Amino acid sequence: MNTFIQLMISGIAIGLIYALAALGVVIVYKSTKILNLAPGGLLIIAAYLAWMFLIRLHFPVVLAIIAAAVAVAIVGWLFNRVILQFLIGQPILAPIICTTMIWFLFRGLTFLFWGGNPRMFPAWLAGRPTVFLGGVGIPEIMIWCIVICALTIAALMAYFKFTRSGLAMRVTAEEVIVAENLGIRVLRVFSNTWVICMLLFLICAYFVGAIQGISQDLDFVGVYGIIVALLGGLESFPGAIIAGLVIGLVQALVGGYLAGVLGGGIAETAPFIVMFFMSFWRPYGFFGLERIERI
Amino acid sequence: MLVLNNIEVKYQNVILVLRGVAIEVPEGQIVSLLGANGAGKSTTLKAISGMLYPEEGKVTDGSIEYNGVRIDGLRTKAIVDMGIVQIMEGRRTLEQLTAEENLIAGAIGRNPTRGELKKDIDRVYEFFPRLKDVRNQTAGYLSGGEQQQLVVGRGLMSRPKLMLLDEASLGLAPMLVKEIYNIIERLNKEEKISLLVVEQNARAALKIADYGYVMENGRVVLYDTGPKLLENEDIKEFYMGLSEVGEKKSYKTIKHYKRRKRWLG
Repeated sequence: MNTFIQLMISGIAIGLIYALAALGVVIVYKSTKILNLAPGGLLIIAAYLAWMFLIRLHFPVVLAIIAAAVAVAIVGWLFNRVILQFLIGQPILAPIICTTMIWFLFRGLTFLFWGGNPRMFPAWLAGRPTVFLGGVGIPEIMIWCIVICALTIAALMAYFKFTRSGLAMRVTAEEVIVAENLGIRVLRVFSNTWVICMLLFLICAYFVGAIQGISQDLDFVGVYGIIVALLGGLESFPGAIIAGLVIGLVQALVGGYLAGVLGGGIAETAPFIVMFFMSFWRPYGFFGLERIERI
Repeated sequence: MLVLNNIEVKYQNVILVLRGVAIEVPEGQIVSLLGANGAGKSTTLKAISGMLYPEEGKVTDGSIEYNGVRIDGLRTKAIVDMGIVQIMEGRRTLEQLTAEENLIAGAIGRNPTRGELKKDIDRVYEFFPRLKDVRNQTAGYLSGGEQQQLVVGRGLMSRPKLMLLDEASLGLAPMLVKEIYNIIERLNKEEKISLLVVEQNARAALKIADYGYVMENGRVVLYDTGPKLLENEDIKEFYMGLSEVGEKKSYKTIKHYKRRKRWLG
């Protein structure tokens, strides 16, 4: 029973991280209709920037986090302004090829700037103790991860529901032409989505980096992010969150119970197997957007 | 107020859609723009509101002036800020949003304060009381008439001085068309909004119009005051389907030759 609870909690924590990465993909897809295959590369960049401000530049903790947020926001903004803005409305293959190339470009850049050795976040983040709740040992970082990811998702929902730039984003997501017609600065909205996307990746990067250490292999989170986004229906927020939790739990439970029987790699493979069968059952994901049709 | 000086519009630099269109909308008046499908009415509106470029169209000759300022070539955002709003054809509501969010979306471009926003929304509800009842419903599920009202109301949220209305009667029951046009007339009278109305429903449009233009093949072929156009034999024949006596056409008396239009198309 204890193992089960442990696995559930780590599954939820990992699942929420995937959900955040997927939300980054989803909001960009919704507003610009670009399928971003580069979250892997962007996530590594975010992780290394976070690490650079904390360790190499010795910023105080709060300042380092703010600096990292600003830095990744600038990366996202530039990314949109310099490259992706010009791919909007192009045939679907163009952004796919472009973002895939960018993934590897960024991966290469991190080798260039920060080398290939794995790095660690400082102890206050990466070295959290294990706490015991009623006899169940849970790494404290997992609890923090669940809390912060849940708060981030709530904040994101509130942003879309209650703020004007959130509304502008929803309008643009629905009909770009109407948004333009109403005098909304569509290009600014596109930049905003990229900035939000990068901030989500940064939060992922902190937690994955704390759990696994920072290296170029972190891009697996980005890959799972794409899978989760596709599973959730690519245009649906609840879809991305639920799909993230499903994938996280599947991974944790399969890893916990079946790894002994089927070998250690099964935990990493399980999400892809789920994805494979899902594509037969519901090719448009759990919550592919329903178009409203009046009858 | 708004003057189009012989504008020429090309799509993708090859397709010539408008050839020397000259139209004037005086302050506080309703001007209607009539014509068959493909005559270039919607293109004219898009040229004014700066919405040509998503379709790779451009004003290649002539000029569009609004209160003495040239606006051809400006971005839509700038034109909306100057007080010109286009209500696009086909009831383009934002389907997943609620009715009220649709209205707010019409105002966020100019970033109003909370109080202003509240006041503007109330003003729209005053003109369209039905919208108040459905304010929290998803716009995609509203009826056709409600959606049309919503779209006009959304345009009103940007506090326009000139409204470009594209086919507000499209696919609506005659009673609803009447209702919409009554409200449009009130907007003109009470809010002093000038209007450029594109219509296929010639009668509905000419009834409220001070001035009317008829377009064909990308140029203006006829213009006159609204009442005079209503009396015009050609308009009656070609746009209202009435014969000279003013009765509905009957197949019994149909002539096997076409009436010649008295203009150069």
